[in-house]
Amino acid sequence: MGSNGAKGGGRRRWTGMSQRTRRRLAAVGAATLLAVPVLMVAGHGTVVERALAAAIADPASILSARSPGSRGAGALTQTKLKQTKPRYAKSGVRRTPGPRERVLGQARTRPTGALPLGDAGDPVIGLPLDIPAGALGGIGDAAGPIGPGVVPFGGTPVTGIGVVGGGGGGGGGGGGGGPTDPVVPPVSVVPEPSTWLMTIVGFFAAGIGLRRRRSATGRRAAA
Amino acid sequence: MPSRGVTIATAAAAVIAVAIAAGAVVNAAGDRMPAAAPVSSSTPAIVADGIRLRFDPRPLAMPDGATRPVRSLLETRGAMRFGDFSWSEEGVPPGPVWVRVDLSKQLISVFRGEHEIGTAVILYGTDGKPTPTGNFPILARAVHHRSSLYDAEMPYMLRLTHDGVAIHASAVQAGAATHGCIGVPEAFARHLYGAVRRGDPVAILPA
Repeated sequence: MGSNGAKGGGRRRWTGMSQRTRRRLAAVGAATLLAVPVLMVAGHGTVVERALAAAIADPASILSARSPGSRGAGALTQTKLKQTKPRYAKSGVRRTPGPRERVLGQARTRPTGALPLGDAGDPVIGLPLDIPAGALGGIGDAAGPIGPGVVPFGGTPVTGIGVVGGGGGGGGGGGGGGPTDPVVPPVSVVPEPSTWLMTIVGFFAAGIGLRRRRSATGRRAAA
Repeated sequence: MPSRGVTIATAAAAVIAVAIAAGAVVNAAGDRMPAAAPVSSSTPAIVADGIRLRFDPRPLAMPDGATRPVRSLLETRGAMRFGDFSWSEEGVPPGPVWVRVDLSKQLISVFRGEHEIGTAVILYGTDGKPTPTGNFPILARAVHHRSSLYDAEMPYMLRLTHDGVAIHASAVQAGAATHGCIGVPEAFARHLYGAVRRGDPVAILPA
């Protein structure tokens, strides 16, 4: 009950202000609250204006503003000391000191004869493959010129011995600047007759050996 | 005493609002004071349309100490990140195409006449295999190129030197670098390839 009475008294005090005072207070509050965004926008506008004014002086400053910054010294190296230190300490392996570059590894080499040419716009993929057929005709046999119709039969050895010359010719014919690496001859799926012969002889030898041993043990058991 | 609480809360709110307003006033005044003079003095300000910033011709530094006039630059939203690029040829009249690479800012800018039509963040050579600086005409172009030296795909290659330095598409990521080439994002490289011709100049500013 007492609290109720106090509340009533407080309210009376709040409402006891004159109407004009309350209106004035409300107006001042509203004005201050409304002024905040206006002032903030105005402030932001000056910042933008200043940036633009600076940019007018030098277009390079616009480029600087869009730049991710310059690459720091040693940005391409990593040592990962935190992770590697205890691991290396445990294993007892001595790690070479200093950072290591994180770029591609060392240059690799590949036979340039098989590459499509890059410089002449869109390279036709089939072109380098067609060249060896023509090159074979020129290289195939030193004895004399052979007609183009004969070349595929005479110049396609299965063993790959002849292909070395053909492949080299293809690389040269492709006009590839730079050294022509030796082309690895394709290994044929069908073995040579001598290989077949040796395999068969080996099988026979093994069979004969097994047969003789079995018959010998059989004789010993029978005896 | 809720009524007194309301009074205190109202007073506190008013104090805070006044403090914010005062702070804003001080802040705005601090911003405005040095800026007031130059803004009012320079009548032709930059015109920004959301795509590019247009201004009166201004000199842009080139590697040999000379400058080239520039009338507009592309507008980017703040700093670009690795892999970002911007390309816009809208409203740019035909003219000679030239490329400016700034290694210190890790940026490439493509210009047609006095207007920038494309920009991107680049990768460049490591300290051990640095990118050469200076002016280079484009020697050769190729959509499909495979490096015989590094056994790597280099799509949209624009060769700059006779020993193989080129601008080409690569995976542009922070912390990566090249063996001397200039790596750009693939979509940007496609635009660039379509915009330039053999013999167009490429200026590379040092890091």
